[in-house]
Amino acid sequence: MADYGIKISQPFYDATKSADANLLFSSSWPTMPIAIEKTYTNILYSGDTDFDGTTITLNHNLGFVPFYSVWTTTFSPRLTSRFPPGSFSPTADATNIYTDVSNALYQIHVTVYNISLETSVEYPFIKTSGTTAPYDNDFGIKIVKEGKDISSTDMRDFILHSRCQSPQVLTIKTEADAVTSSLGGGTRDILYTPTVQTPLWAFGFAKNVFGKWRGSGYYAQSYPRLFVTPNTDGTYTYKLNIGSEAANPKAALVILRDPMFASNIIQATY
Amino acid sequence: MADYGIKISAPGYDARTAENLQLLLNMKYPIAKLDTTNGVSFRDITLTFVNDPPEPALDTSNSLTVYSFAHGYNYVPQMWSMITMITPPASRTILEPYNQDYMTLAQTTFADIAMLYIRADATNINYIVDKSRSSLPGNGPNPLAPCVIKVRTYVFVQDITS
Repeated sequence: MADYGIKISQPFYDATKSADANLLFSSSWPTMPIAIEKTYTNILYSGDTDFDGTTITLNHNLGFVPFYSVWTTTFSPRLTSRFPPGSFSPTADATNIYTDVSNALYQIHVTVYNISLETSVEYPFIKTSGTTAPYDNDFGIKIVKEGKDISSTDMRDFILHSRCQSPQVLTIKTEADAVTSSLGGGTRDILYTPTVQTPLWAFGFAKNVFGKWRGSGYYAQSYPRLFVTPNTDGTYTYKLNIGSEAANPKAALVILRDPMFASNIIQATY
Repeated sequence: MADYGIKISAPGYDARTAENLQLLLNMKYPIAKLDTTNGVSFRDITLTFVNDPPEPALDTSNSLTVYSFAHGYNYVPQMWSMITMITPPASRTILEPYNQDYMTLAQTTFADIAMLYIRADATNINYIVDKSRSSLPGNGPNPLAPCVIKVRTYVFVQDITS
């Protein structure tokens, strides 16, 4: 890591010498900060001023087009899912997130991350240890939200808590990285093939003719569309195929990686 | 930003005056959280279909929860799922080895289809197969067994009612 910032090692490891896999926290990890989030319940009847009868407009005012996620909850049964990538809603610009409400939904929740889709970044892939050491309550760092109790056991009350980790940004490639597509039609591709033998979280975004960015569907028939292709060596190629939807095409391929602790492996059958 | 907390700037920037995106760490924004001590927060689930969810009658659909686990929170948590196809069902006619939150597992016509959805409720994370059948020409069933998929699911310490 860089020679500045904060590192918190796991118990019995020296923070000045430990590899990232033995850290509880490092300020050099490109985590996912949440800039703003809001829940809209029974929006058709709530009278919320963000809703104009058709679209919910959440003002984030970040000054750049951010990465975002939207969850919807149906009335009956009360089930929540993340908004399918590639649908025409929601969209984003440097000021707002727009979510069209065409169906009666019990709840819509919008989360906006302090991550810009307009700036290329790339971080090295740091391997995890493959195991997760037991957590020691007397060891680490925690910063509580204003008005919350520092001794709270509800992790939602914290801005940062070394008991918790975030997915991390691995790379964001923009239209500046695009090349002529082998798919033809005057389209272009943003390509990425990391030397990581596990699938990563891939998201595509492109600016439409209305000046708003929308998410890309996987293997969609319309632009933007995102292809994730396994290679014979175990790696994956991520390809965001973009057309020229706007006079000034803008797009971003966002690749996120897992946090630095090991997953819980489950075998299930039906 | 608030007058307390920690700011760490990127190299070459003064943390006291740096703009938002010039900061590596900014306590103005809480970090998305997966609890390292909770076995539900980050799961790699290999789901093998050895049985077949029943086919619906023509021009109907049905839903069946084929796997679920309790998330243990007293709220509906934010969750992400990444699905990769390991062994496709023999009836599969499309090539879609990767998706997030839902996946077409098998498809005969545009209206004869077997989909997987991952949805949360107040108690569980549910893996639901939706099957639809039509009476259109070329219609047919979409048996899934044998089929193997891998699902990576994050369950965040973050509710959807903030």
